[in-house]
Amino acid sequence: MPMKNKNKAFFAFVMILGIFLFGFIYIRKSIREISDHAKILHTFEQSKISNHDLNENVLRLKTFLLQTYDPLVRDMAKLEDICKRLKNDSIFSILRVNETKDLLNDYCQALSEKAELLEQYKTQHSVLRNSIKYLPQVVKGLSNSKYSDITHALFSNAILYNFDRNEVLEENIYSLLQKIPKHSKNKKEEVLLESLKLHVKLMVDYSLTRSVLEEKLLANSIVAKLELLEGSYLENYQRLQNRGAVFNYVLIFVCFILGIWLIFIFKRLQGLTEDLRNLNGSLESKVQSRTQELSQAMKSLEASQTVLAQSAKMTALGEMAGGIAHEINTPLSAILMNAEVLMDKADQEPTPEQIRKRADTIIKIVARVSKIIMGLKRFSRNADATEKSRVLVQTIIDDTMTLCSEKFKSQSVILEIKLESPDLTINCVPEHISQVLLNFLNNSLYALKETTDLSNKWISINALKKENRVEINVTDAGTGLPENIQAKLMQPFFTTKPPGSGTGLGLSISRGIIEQNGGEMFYDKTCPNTRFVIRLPA
Amino acid sequence: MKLKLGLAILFSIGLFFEIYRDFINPPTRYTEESGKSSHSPQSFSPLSEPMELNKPKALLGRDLFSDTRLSKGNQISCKSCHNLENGGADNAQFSAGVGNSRGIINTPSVFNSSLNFKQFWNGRADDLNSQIDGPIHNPLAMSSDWPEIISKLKADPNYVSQFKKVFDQEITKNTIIESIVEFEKALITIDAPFDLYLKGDRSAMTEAQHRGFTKFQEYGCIACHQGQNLGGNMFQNMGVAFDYFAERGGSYESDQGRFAITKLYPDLHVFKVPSLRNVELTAPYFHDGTEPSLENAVKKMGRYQLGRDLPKEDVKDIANFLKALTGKKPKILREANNANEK
Repeated sequence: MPMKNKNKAFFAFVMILGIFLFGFIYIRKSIREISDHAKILHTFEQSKISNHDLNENVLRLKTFLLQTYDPLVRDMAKLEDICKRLKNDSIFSILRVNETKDLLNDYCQALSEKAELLEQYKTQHSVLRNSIKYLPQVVKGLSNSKYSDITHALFSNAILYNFDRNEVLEENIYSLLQKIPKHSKNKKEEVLLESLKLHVKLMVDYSLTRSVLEEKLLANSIVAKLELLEGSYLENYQRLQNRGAVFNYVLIFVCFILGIWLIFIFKRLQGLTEDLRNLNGSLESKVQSRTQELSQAMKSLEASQTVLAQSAKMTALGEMAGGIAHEINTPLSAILMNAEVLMDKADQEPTPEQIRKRADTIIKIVARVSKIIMGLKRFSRNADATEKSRVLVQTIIDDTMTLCSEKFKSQSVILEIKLESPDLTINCVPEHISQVLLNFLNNSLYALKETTDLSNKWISINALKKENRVEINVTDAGTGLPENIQAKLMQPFFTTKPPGSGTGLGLSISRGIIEQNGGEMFYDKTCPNTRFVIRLPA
Repeated sequence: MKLKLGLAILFSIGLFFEIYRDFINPPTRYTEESGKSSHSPQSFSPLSEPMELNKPKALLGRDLFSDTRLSKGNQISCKSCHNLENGGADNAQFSAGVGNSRGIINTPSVFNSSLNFKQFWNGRADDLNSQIDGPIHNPLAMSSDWPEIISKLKADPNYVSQFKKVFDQEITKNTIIESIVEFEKALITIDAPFDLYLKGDRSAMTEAQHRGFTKFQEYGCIACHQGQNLGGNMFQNMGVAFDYFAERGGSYESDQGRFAITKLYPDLHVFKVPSLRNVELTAPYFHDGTEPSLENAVKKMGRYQLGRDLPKEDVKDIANFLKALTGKKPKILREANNANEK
């Protein structure tokens, strides 16, 4: 959970950064769009101005106020340059409107037509101007000749024709031209007349085409086209703006949602921090209560373990019960027999010697039985681990043997007890050790139950001192345990006995008991026979 | 969480593209035209040093202009026909191209060419940038092509580093053209006697030249040869008064003029009016280069364009005046010479 929260916080940070960045770029873009828009409007305005200048210069040319074509060339170049830039401008592709593009193409087309017209006009105009300028010189040269009148008439008609073309003037001019003779006596006159004819013809021809061109040039179609283009552009721009406004609302809405979401995240983070503080506060008391619970559980566990151990002990005892019953039964019948003998002798006036003998026997037998019962009682007592005492190993073994010697006899198992020295002592709870030994012996007896070979039916108990410990091992005639069983040997509820005849707790509880007494218990893998070893502090 | 992370990634990708678009598609800049539309009624105005010249580009262009690698087989350079020592053109009727080829039209001067309203005799190029393509590809001129030129120039580490320095990019068609054009823009021949006269120094021209100027105007030469460049701002019919081509005899491929471009009959024999600046140095004259003498050229122009036979003295005076149109060598070339002398 904390990892996830950390991610969330990071994500929130990135989002905030993103919103700022997006806002920044959006504003920048908007500014750019506005400035682009202004530039385009300015471009349209410039085009109009240049066109106006161009037309004005054409009129100036017509009236010979302008002597050079440079301004025309400049104006035209400006118009064409603007057109080229508009065509390459991205804003028209951003608008994504074919109509505007078509209009732009129309406009550029009209512009190139106008440029062509202008070129022709310049060509025509220069010739016409020369002729108009030259004619007065011819008229002057011929003023003293006999053709003076015709020359004057031609000149005035031609000039008039230049300003107002009509058929009457044209006819006049052609009839006057025919009156001029091809040859003259005066060579100089002839040359002048020739050039007069030439230039008047040029004037008539060129003023016709020039005026047509002039009309076309000034027809202003490109201004109309430009205005159409501008209108279309403005319309589309407005639409783009409207779309942008909608986008703005969406953007604001998204930002709003994001903001709320961020607040939500922060609130949650804040709540989590508070929770954490509260948790820290209650941690100590919680730990205390938990410790208490734990110790209680430990106690109940210990209690149940004690109960378990007791029950296991009882099981072991139960297994011995038959033997014990026999052990007690036999002396009881001996007591009965002796008591009957005493009864019989009472009638025959027995000697005190005889009575003492029988009574003595009865007492001896009772002592023996009482010893057995004492052992049984001691064994079954639920001893505490604190009741440790120093006891002879011999005593423990003897106590144990009283409980099961009968079973050995009935199964005809040979028991061998070897002590390193008779005064070996251990510091322990004797009942516990007896229980463990009894458990071992029970297991061994169970294992040897099926064996028929009497010579191979033995159990030996050895006790020896090793350093400061006393080792007691119980070995039987078995040939050892398989590996897989060895591993699980000490596990609770593990048993090889058929269901119902074993609890599977014997060894695990035995181990617990030995460890409680500060010793250790293990299965001796090195021995060829089955051997269990316990080591206890001396 | 995964969904949110995905959203965040989408969001950032979007942002990235938004920013990136700004970089790859920079906003169009509409720079103000320098200088307002002129209403000046004067026919002539003096030349002045070119403004806003990018010196490094122009110097690089100067190297390229005289580099033979721009032609097939490294035979000729721009300079071979546009002789910078002699009026920006050669004195051949038709210039020699690669191999044994000859052009079909007289080479116009490269000096002051940036002031012309269109390029080539028939005005088929709108500006110098598009003019360069002509001679580069023309089999009778350099007979090359851009990939070949670029690969040749790229093999020269000196050029590679220079282009890197000047343009901050590698050698491309555009950068080559840009630098050559920048150089050509620098080729303005200022301070011709006529310019000095226009600026107010009457003594800059001789008496004969003053007379010539008056006659130049009176006869109507200025109808076409006007403006800053004394021509170069309009088209005119070759042979307004009399048929020049019939009287000359013979025919050249280039006689069509603008007709070759527009295919319109009125454009037959229509040519760009050439600038008269440095005309003294650029013989032979006319598009066909048939007239080696300046005086005869004036005479022919008088007949075919103005419909008049000019008297000998007038022709002489006008020719004298035309010699007053020879300006100083462009500054960028003078610098080159100084550097060489050092």
